[in-house]
Amino acid sequence: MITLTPETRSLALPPPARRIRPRWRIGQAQVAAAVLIAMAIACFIVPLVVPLPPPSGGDLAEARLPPLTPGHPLGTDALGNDMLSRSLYGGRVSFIVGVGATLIGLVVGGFLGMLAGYKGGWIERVLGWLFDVLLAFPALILALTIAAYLGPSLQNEIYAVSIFLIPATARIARASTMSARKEEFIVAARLAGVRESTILRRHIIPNISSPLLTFAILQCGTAMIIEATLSFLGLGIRPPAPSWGNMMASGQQSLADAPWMVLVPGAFLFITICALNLLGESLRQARDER
Amino acid sequence: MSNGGGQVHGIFGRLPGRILRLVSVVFGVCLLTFVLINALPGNVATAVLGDQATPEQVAALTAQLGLDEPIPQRFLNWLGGVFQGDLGSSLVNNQPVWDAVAQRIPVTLELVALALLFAIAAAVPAAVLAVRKPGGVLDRVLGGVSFSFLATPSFLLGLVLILVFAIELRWFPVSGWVPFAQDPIGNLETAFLPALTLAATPFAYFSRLLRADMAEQLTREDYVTTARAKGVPRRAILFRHVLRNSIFPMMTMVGLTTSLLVGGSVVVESIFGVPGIGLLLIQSITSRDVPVVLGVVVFIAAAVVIVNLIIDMLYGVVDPRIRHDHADA
Repeated sequence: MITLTPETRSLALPPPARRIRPRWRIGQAQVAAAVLIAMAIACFIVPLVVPLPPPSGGDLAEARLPPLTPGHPLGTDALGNDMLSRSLYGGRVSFIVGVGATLIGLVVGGFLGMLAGYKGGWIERVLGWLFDVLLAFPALILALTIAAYLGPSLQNEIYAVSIFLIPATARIARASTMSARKEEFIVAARLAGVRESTILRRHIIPNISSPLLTFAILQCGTAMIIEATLSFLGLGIRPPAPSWGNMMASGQQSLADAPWMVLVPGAFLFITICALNLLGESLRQARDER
Repeated sequence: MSNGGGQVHGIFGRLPGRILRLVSVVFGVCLLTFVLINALPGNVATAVLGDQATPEQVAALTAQLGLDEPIPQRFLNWLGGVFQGDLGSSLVNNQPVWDAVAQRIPVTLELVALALLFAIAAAVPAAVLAVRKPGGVLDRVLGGVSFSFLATPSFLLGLVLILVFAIELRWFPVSGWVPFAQDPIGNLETAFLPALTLAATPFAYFSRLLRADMAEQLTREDYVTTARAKGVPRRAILFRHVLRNSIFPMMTMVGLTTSLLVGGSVVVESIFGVPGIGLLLIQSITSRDVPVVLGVVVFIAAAVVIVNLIIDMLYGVVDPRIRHDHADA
C-alpha cells in the first residue's frame, strides 16, 4: 500500500496547466472567428430582430427575381420566397447539425477512444475493430444510409452525420491518451492509488482536450458539408423548410435562367466552411509550433 | 494494435494477419449494414408497399422477404447467400443485385480512375511549381485554390462547372452518359465534367501533401544539401530525388482518397445523371429497395477495405524500409 507522502503527492499533481496560448498568425484565426460569429449572429439573431419576409409561403408573382431587386436584396426563388430570408433560416440547420454532430462525435468518440487508449487489452481490440468497421464506409454513404432509414428530421440528420465523426475522433483520443498515459505524473497518480475515474477526469481529459478540440473544429466543416449534401440529395430537412442544401437542390432545375438560386446559398456555405477550416488550421499550426 | 509478427521479414510475411483483419472488418461491415437497415424502426414491407397496402399484401411481402424470421437468422441466411455469390434480388424489378452492381461498376470505376488521373496530373506539377519558391505567388495561389476546393461541397462545384462549361460555354453536355463502347469520344465528353468535379478534393489533398513533404525534404534532408554541394541543378534535385521520395506518402493518400472518391461519386453521379453505382444507391434508397441498398453498401465498403489493403502492401513493395517493423496505425 502506498501512502501519500508530500513528495508522491506532488508527483501526482498535474504539471502547471498548459493552456492553449496560440501564437496568432497574421490575424487569420481572428478573421475566421469573426466571420463565423457574424454568420451565426446573422442566422440566429438577425431574423428575430430585422423584419424579413417569411422564408416560405412566398408570392408566385414575385418568383425568380434576380438579386438586387428592391425588397429582395438576394433575389427570390422559384416559389417567390425571399432568398436572403431563406438563406439565413437555412443557415440555422447547417450550424445546428454541424455543431450538434461535432459535439456528439467529440463526446462519444472522445470517451470511447480514451477508454480504448487507457484500458488497452480486449476493450481496445473490440473498439479498434468497431472503429475500423465504421471507417471502412465512405463517410457520405454511411450518413446516407442512416439518414434514409431514420427518416428526414433535424435530429436524425445530426445522428447520421455524427456517426462518421465518432471513429475518427476516437482514433485521435486513443493516440493522445496512450501518449499521455506514459507521462510521469499519471504513472505517479496511478501508483499513488488515485481512482481511475479521477485520473481520467483530472489528468487525461485536460491533456487530450487540446488536440481533440482542434480536430473537432476541422471536423465541423466536414460535418456541415455532409449535412448540405444530405439535404441536397433529399435526405435531410424537407422543403418548404429551408436549408442550404435543399435550396441548392431546388435551384438546380433553374440553373440556366436563375443561377443565383444555387449560387446564393452556395456562397453562404462556402464562406462558413472556409472560416471554419481557416480557424481549425490556424489553431493546429499554433499547437504544432508550441 | 500489434500484429505480433514484428520479426517477420518479407512483404508477404504479415499477410495472414492482415487478411484476418480484413475478413473481420468486412464481416463487421456486413453485420453493421444489415443490422442498420433491418433493425431500424419502420417496417420494410410497409415502406416498400406504401401506406395504401392492405395487411394481406404486407404479410405476403414480409413472408416473401423472410422478414418474419428473427434478425440473427436472417443475417445468417443473407450471409450464406453472399458466400454463394447471391446478394438477393431487387424488389423493384427482380434483377439480381449482383447483376445490377456488376453492370454499373465499370462506369463508376471509369469516373474514379479519371478523377484520380486528373488529380494526380494536376497536383504533381502544381506542387513542384509551388515548392520552387515557398511563400511565392504560385505557392500562395495553389494554397488558396486547394483551400477553396476543401471548402466546397462537390455538388456545389459540380453545379458551378455545369453553369460555366455546359450552360454558358456549351463545351460539354449538361448531363447524361454515353457508354465507352458506343462512342469513345462522346463517352469522354460526358465523363469529363463529372470526373473534374470528383477530382477537386483529392487534388487539394495531393497537392498540399506533396508540397509540404517536398518543402520539408528540401530544408531538412542531408542528401539535398549534398546534391546541392555537388552542383546538381535544382531542377534535377526536385524531380529526381525529392519528388521520387514524396511518392510514398502520396500512395497512402491515394488509398485514403478512394473512400472519398466512391462517396463523392454518389453525389456527382446523381447531379450529372451518370448511371454508376452511386446513382444506383440513391435510386434504391429512394425506392426503398432494401436488398439493393444492402448489396451496394456492403460491396462499396468491402471494396474500399480491399483497395486499402492492396495499397498498404504496395507501399511495402516500393519502400523497403517499412517492410520490417511498420507499426499498424
